[in-house]
Order: sequence, then structure tokens, then C-alpha cells
Amino acid sequence: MAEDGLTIALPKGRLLAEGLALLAQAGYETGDVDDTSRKLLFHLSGDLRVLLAKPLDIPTYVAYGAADVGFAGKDVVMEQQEALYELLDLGIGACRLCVAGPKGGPYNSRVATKYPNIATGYFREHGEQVEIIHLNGSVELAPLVGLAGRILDVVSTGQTLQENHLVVLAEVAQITTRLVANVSSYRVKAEAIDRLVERLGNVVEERTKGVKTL
Amino acid sequence: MLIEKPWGTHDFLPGEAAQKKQMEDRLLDLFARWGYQLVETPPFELDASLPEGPRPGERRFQFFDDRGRLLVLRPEWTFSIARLAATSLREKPLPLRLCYSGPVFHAEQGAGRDAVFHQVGVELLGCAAPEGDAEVLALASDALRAVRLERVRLVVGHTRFLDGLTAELEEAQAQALREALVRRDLVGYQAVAATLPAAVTDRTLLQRLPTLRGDAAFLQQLQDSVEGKAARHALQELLEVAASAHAATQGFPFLFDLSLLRHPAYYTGLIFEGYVSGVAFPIVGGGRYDKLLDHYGRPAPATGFAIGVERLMDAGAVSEAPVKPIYLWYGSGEEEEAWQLAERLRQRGQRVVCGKEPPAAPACYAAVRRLVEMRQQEKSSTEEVEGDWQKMD
Repeated sequence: MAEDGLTIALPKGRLLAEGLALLAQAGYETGDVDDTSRKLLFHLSGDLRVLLAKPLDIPTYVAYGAADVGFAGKDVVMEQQEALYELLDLGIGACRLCVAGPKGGPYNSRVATKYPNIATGYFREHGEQVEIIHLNGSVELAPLVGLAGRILDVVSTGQTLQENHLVVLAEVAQITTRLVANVSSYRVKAEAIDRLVERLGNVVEERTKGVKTL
Repeated sequence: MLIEKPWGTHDFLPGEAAQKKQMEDRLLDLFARWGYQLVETPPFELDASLPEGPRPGERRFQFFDDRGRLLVLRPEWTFSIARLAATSLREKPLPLRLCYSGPVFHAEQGAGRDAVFHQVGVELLGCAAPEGDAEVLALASDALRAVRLERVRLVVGHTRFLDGLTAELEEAQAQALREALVRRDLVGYQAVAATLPAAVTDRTLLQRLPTLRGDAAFLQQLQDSVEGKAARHALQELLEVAASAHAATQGFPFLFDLSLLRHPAYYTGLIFEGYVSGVAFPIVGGGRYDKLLDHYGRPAPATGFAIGVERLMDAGAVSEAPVKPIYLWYGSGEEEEAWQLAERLRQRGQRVVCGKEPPAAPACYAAVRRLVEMRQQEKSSTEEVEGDWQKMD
């Protein structure tokens, strides 16, 4: 946690460009930030520092104060269960967290997922005894090869499911990217963070209005 | 053989341990000057005597005594102090001012949460709002100053502000709002707040709650826009307490935050947390808990706070650097004289290690002296001896 200014953790990969566009629209200069080089730390004008991390790691960076704020998917926030503030729905990265499987069933008791905590909670709430199989990717493969009967994963367009002959069986949660903050930074740097929330909030609101009027 | 320490625990090494003790002593000394008496309780309590089970996400260390009764390693100090006040100290008149220092135990792991951590704190029992709150808030501010912290932010809220605003809501809705705040999920909070019926008295205020933070002037302004009586009263109390606490200590600036919520089943009034630039977790937390002593059969209003010792150390709140001893060495036949000389030096407050032959690791000592040198030095006056050492370092 830098003494002055704000350190913001952004997810490498798919959502980086959208995240940067949001920041730029909110009036923050995003300079030369990109994830194609090996550089992971960027000092920008206006006392802003950007660090790039794996999407799943963003809550960790923020909870420990390595970054004051970050852009993190609601799925990742739910899974990591770190103590942090969820300040704003940024409206980007929209998708659904779903249970999926081959059409018809019946299904065995194994569920493959990248989200063991969410899956454990979800099936406990629904009174169903399952064995959670923790995978780090390509979860949709599991039902095809008999590793698990069902999967719990994010679904955006549904194309991956379709290609693997899977269908959505239940929706667990609606996911968007959130602005999260470290509990200490949220107080110690209240002014800077409030400013960020207000500016980003305005951009998000404008965009929503834009969609509605279209 | 497996030789490692249990997860979530920390060894305090030479230097660290001394620093920790100095910090605890400094705080206890300050509490004593405010009239708080030190108490100690056993590190475990009977589970059946505790007022509440684990909070969401909290896990406790539990074990059985030889009669099969469940015991719990103290998850916090306040339960034990409340039990003490209602039993052993039952005959002592209120208000009671008590303070403590020692470890608390949690079986869960996560960012900023260890299995064993140390707290130094106070409990003011039998003193109602607002006087009690002002005293405790001023003392917390003074305590952080005593360990030389700078750039502290004390965040102050009030449970009855939200209670007041949500009084006319359906319980399920009020519950959903509180739970979102406890989870720190302000997005979730706003989603619930957006569905409130239009007829709710302070509807817009409830919807704006996460943004309701600022200084005393902000709070003053806010008062005019509050319709509900209970909420308005809570604001009034906050302002009074803050004004007198601030006047008492010229302490750190307060940040009022009306969305601050700590364990809603437990706290009943003014609550606060302290944060320091550069430390990712709160270093102090506390507030008013007027219901807790009911459970122990001695109803009384009460308030207090606990400071996290490890977090103070993270924040660099440090006293003097540890002092190294000098090393006095002697040859054959000089033992007796050497030990006597060492004794005289120790009586004068010097730290002295005495041994045969020079030390293997001289860097561990402030100075290394042979007996003959020291004998000559001692012949000059006491003051000069001390002066000489400083020159020789």
C-alpha cells in the first residue's frame, strides 16, 4: 500500500481493455498500460499506480493491501471470501454462474468446478450431497470424459456449453465486474476512493442510460 | 520427527519480543494513568457460559475438560471481563474501569487473521452514553499517540442510526440491509435499498447510506435531512461524544461513517475502528455493548476497545531499539572478581554478560571488555565509567 495516491489492481486478459476504457472515460490517464509485455506495474499521472494480476488473484492483492482497489469479477469475490469492500458494479464482464451438464441426466454426485467454495455453499444450500472436484480450467471437459456428472462454471454466450453438448441446469448467480477496496484504504484514503467511485459511477450510469435509449 | 510450529502462530524473536512487551507496557501504563486496573483471566472459558456462539466465518478452538464439559480458548477478552465483573467483582461498585493484555484465539485462517494474536484493551463497565463513549474514544486516541503512531484515522459510527432508519421496514428487509453491510457488500446493499417502498420515512437517506461519511460539519448538515427521531438522536450523540473526546486529547481526526457496522447482535451504540496508512487491517476496534452484561446477570451499560498488538508492530509503532549487553571476560583465577564486578555493574542498571575467554560472536554485544580494563575503568568515578562506554562504542 503506497502512502499517497492509489494503487489499482486490474485483471490481465479478456477484461483489461474494457477496464482501461472505463478508467479513461472516468478521466484517469491510463498511459501505456497493456498486458502484452512483461511489465506488470505502471506509474501513471495523478498519483495512480496500476498493477496487473491474474483475475483470480485480485481479491488477494486487495485484501492484503498490496493494492488499494481493484476490478474483480463477482464470481472471484464470492469464491475468495476475503474481507474487502465491494463498492460499485462496473457493469462490464457480464455473465452467469451456472450449473450445467449433458441434457437429461441422471447425474452422478461429482461436480467439477474452478469455484470449490461457491459450489460447496450452493449445493449445501440446496440440500444436495455432492463431491466437488476442483479443476483449474477446461471444466466443460469433465462430463465428456466421465470425471464429473455436472459442472459449475461461468457462462457468457453459451457457445462453449453448446459445443460440448451441455445445457444450463440452474443459475447460481449473475456476475459482473466489481470495484473492490481494501478495508483500511477505504478509510485512510476515503477522499481518493470516493472520488474514484463517483467518477466511475457516473460513467457506468451514462452507459446504462445509453443502452436504454438505443 | 516433524518439527514445525502450528499454522497461524508466530514466534517473537529476541528484539521482537522486547519490542512487543515495551509496546504493551506503554499502553497499560497509559491505561493505568486513566484509572484502569489490570486484570487477567484464564485463557479458556466454559462454552456454556459464553453469551453467543461463533460469528459468521469465525471458528473457535474447543476442547473438553475431564468431566466432558466443552471449553473454548478465549475468542475475545470482553466475554471474560464481563464474566469477571458479574462474578468475582460483583460486590465492587460500578463504574468499573478494567484493562487487559494477552492473546486471543481463532481457528480460522485468512488475510490478516492469525490463529493466535495479542490484544491490549480496556472495558468501561457501568458508564452510560455519552460520557462513557467520549472517555473511551479519547483514550483510544491517546493510546495510539502513546505508541507514536501518525496518520491514524478513527472511523466512528452508531448502530442506532441504521436501527432507527430501518425501524419501520419489514424485518427481512432490514436484515438483508444489515447483512450486506456486515459483508461490506455495498453493491448488494444498494440493490436491496432500491426496492424499499416509497412511503419509508428516510428512504433516500437509507439509499445513500454507503456514501454518508465525512467530518463533524458533514454530520451537522446531515442532521437537518433526517426525519426519524431515533436516527437523529444517534447523530446528536455522535456529535457530542466526538466534540468532547476531541477536546480531551486533541486527538486524531474522526471520520464519521454511518455505514460502519460491527457485529450487530452485540454492539448497541457508538462503534469505532482505527486505521493507519500502510496497514491493511484495522488496528483498533470497539464500541458500546449495553446488552452483554445482562447475559451474566449484572445488567449495566458498557463500552471498550481492543488494540491489535501485531498490527501496531506492522504499523511501525515502536519504542526504543533494544539495548545490547556488554561482555565482560576473564582469565583463569579471575572468576570471583569478575562476577563481583559484573554484579556491581548490574546493580547500576547495566546489562552485563560475564564469561571466560572472549565471546565467539562479539557483534552480539554493545562492547567486549577484559576484566583488567574494566578494573581500571571502575577506579575512576561511576559517572565517568558510563561515559567511557559510550565513547568506546
